[in-house]
Amino acid sequence: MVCKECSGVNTLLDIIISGLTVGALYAVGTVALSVLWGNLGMLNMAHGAMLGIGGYSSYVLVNSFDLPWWLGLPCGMAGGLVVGLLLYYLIVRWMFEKPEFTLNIIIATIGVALLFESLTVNFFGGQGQKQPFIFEGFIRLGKSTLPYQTLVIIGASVVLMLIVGGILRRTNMGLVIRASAQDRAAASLMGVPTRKVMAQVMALAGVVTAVSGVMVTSLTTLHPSVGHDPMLRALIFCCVAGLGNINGAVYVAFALGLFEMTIQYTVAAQFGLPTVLGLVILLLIWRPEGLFGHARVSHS
Amino acid sequence: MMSDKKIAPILACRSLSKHYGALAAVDKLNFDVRSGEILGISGPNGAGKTTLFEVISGLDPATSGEISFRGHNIVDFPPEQICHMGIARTFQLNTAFDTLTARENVLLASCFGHHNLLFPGFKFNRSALKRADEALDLVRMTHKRDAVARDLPVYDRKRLMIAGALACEPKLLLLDEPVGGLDFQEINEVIELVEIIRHEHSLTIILIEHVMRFLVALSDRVMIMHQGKNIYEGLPEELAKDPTVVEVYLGEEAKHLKQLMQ
Amino acid sequence: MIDVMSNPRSRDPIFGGVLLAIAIIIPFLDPGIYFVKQLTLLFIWTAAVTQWNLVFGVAGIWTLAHMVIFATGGYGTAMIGLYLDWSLWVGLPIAALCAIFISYLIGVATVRLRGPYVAVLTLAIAVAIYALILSDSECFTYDELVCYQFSGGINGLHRFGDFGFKELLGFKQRFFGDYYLALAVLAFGTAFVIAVVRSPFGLAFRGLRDNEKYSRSRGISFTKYQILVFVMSGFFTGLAGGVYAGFFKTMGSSVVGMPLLLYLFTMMIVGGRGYIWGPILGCGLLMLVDDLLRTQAEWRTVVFAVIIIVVVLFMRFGLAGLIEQLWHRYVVQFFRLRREERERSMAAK
Repeated sequence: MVCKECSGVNTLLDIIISGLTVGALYAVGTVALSVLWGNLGMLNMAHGAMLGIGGYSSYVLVNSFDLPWWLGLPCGMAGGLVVGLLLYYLIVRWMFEKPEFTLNIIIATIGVALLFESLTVNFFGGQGQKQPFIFEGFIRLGKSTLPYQTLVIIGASVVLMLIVGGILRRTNMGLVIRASAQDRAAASLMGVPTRKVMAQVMALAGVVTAVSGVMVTSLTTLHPSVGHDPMLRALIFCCVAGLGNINGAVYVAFALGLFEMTIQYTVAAQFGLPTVLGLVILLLIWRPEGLFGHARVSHS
Repeated sequence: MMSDKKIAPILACRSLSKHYGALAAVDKLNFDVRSGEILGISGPNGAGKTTLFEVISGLDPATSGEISFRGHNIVDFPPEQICHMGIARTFQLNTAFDTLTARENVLLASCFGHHNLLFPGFKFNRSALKRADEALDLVRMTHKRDAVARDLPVYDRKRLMIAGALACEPKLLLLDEPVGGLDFQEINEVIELVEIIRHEHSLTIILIEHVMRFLVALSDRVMIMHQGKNIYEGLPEELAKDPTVVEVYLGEEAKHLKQLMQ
Repeated sequence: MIDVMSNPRSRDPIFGGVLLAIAIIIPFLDPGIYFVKQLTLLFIWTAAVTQWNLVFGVAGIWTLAHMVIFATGGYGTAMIGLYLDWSLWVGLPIAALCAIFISYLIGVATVRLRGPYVAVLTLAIAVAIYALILSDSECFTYDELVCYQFSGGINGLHRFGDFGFKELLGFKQRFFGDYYLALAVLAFGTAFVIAVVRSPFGLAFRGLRDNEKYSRSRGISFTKYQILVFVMSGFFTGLAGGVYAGFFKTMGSSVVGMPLLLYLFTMMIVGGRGYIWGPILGCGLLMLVDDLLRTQAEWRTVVFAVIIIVVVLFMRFGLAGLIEQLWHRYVVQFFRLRREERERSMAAK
């Protein structure tokens, strides 16, 4: 809504706060997709579903076992871990070394996403639930409010990205992920079992995406298609940044998050998404390799 | 008696370079190819041979330098245009259109590679069909024309690539390791094929090959590349005597080569 | 006989002719209005997917913006009827031409991208159009204090006329008109796709799909043929959209929405992408499943999801690919063996 009564400073502060929040959410959501897609060639269309599973795991486990609300996050992570591994063992493992992996995994994950969503609708109904992991309360900053949840989200996102960054830089798995960005065949020649690494990566992606899901659903209601919007954004942020560039995707997420909030506050709420999309479309046409990507040689 | 007048070479590279970041895959290369000759190129792995083909055929733009083909500087031309001008190549990895039949593989080349087809139409041109069938016949694959390329063994796919290149009726044929991985009999057949091609079509051929027997049997002249540079250009007989070549490339092979030449 | 059986050139027209004949006869067998309307919708979706398959399956371009082209045909027809008050029969071809233009634009937009990047860009375009339509809240016209948006907004466009079948064919048989119109679009669209695939165009598209680098080195310009395949697939897609508008007498943003996109995507994949008869098989199967699950609508999407996963794991080439394999293994072999036996017995005499 256009804020007619707000003074300029307030609106600016509001924009920054919500922009950072939204950017942080998008950034976390994008990281998992970026690793899987940019470095391992797997465009995970079930990303949104995995995000939703994070939220639903928190909701189901906390409510079924009457757990304290702050266990919602670990429950969500557990759910994400399980989903990541399931996805690997039931689907990815069979398709990973076969021809046309790229397109087939897209189709398969679309199927998985549809399956998750339809099952969730059947069991929980289409209406929203309240996901338990929420920090109540806020700080006052002039006429703006800064909810604790927002701080948690931004903080958790930063921590998460530092952890993922550390994993990529320091561990063996991280080394293989980065090497795989160049050439999967070469990576397997290095003697590292790519299969095992793939399972680990998917487990990690599951956990990270689930955290993102818990965060997102702490701000919005938990419903079956809650992962759609974040996934769409993750997809386009990865492309705009250039595949394989995880840091770039994070920067793009924050930048476009701020941009979207600016449009929402200054023009109208419903123009936020179309404007971002329009900008992204123009960016991709102008720089097909992404803002930070390298011009790709057209391979067969 | 041969005239002393200098005939312009069909292909001339001047100071041709291709850099990948700091790496110079092709480093200020200079060489000529005379019309109607077979030039063999060899050298250790990573010498820049295939990169040279990529640059000449337009699939990878040169960083600097000039490539003159029949009087035109083709350095910035797109691969389709270079094909239409008369350069056709085969690839080191046995490349084919996997879901197309053998005949369709060659027909595609004969239809689109021969000249710039502005309006393809809904029917195949009769001369395109004829060219394709003749090319397929030349590599002796007419009986396999309806086989899907994906199901063909390596030797057939290599022959198919050559047929495709021929169907374009090129002036210059670039063959990239045409006999890599083939057995003794198959190599003989390819040698025979190239000789037939050379005599029946007025073609110039540049071929890259590690298999010395093949290189020496067919080449009028040989060029050895090393680290993107031209370290030897001359007759195949002299190859084993050149000290740089022996040191850089041949090593033990030099003795084998000497035996071959005798 | 074996030549007919194993040669796609002769097989396709025969198969198509048989299907067409069956489709023409069905309404006269009095199957009921519901069935006729369901088939009409099947024809419309199949017509759209057949053209999508040309770009996605045959040319290998992973576009997800196909329904934007469909919507251009539909919204164009509706708007020409609503704002210019022209007959839908006039609006339909005009809208189809607009659809070609939009298709061309999408082709140009994606020409420097490859693979999944195209999917993401075209998805962004589709979602943007969807969001734009839904966000259209400014009143374009007023009618007794009721506000109508230019694009119809959330409510969609209504009352733009129809094809006039009630007047032409009488009240009882009015749906036959939509049925045969949709069938005509499907039939001509399929015939067009068959002609394209068998032509030099088709060879270029398939070559670019299989190996872009190799195609370029054999003289095929990627830019030219990418844009060309988009342009060629635009006309019948636009027609299908216009027929949809006239059939339902309403045009809404759901045609560019995700649920429909996924539904049609499933049809294309399950049927067999890149195969000429894939879309028809896929659409037929899915609408059958749809119908069987009519009473248990909650499980519809679950079943679709399972079908997609099963197909991509075990039947990568879809129904059409599977049938092609079985056909070759059993039918063609059968006739071949029979011929060999006949030749043997003749030689023995």
